[in-house]
Amino acid sequence: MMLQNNDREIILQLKGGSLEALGTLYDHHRQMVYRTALMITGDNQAADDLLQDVFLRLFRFAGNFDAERPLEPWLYRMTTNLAYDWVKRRRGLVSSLEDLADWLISSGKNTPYEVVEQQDEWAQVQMAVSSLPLNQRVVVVLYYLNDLSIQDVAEILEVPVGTVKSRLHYGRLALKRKLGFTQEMVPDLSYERP
Amino acid sequence: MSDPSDQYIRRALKNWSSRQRPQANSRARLLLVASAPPQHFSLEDAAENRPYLDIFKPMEGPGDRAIELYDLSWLLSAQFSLARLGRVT
Repeated sequence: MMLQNNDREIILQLKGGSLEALGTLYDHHRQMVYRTALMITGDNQAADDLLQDVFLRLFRFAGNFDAERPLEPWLYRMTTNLAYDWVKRRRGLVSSLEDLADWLISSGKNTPYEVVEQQDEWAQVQMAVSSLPLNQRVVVVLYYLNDLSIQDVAEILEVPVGTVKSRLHYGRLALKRKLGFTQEMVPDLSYERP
Repeated sequence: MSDPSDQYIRRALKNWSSRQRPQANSRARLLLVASAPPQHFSLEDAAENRPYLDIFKPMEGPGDRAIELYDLSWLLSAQFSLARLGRVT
């Protein structure tokens, strides 16, 4: 795995129950965890809650960690697993309400995401990602947002490399279709690093 | 696997997400909860918090259900103790 272990000393402190170490690890990784959770769930409040859950679990289970191994794969795995669970739970809770909404909106073609104001070009991409099937969405988020290799994504999700490639392929096709991709849509990069 | 659409998707996701931040009090909330004793912060996987007796207590017959209903776990302990004594004698 390409990910590096930069947190060894801090994890050793965390194993001793240090809250300061927890705070330091939170500062190092909060943006990655939060943005991954947000992109998968599409819900700010859920992403905040998942951020808390991930780091509480990190604190709780620190004793089981091998300090020699990088922390990021565990964080990615925990974040995606919890986000998976959240989306599945919510899907069950809101499905009946969504059915009602579909019935009320006679056109029936627009998803809730599509009826949101679409003045922000970047937000359109986020909405397109949110509308992907969950399995494809998770792979797209880990690959594009977090710059992980296909091999890394496969290890984190514990699925074969071929499965990741397949999900990524169909995710990309769906995104291109939803975005009506054309060459002139590629704007300048203005990515602000965490 | 990097064509213009790939670059666009990557930039768009990073650009959008770079403006998203957790709540300002998130760190303080985390440390506050983590500083509480473990039984005071619940994780979804509650199995780890389950008391030992809840896991191994056999709840099958009406007597066992009565023990559970009236919280007579001391009686269960007595059962186990007497059974051990019985084997010894």
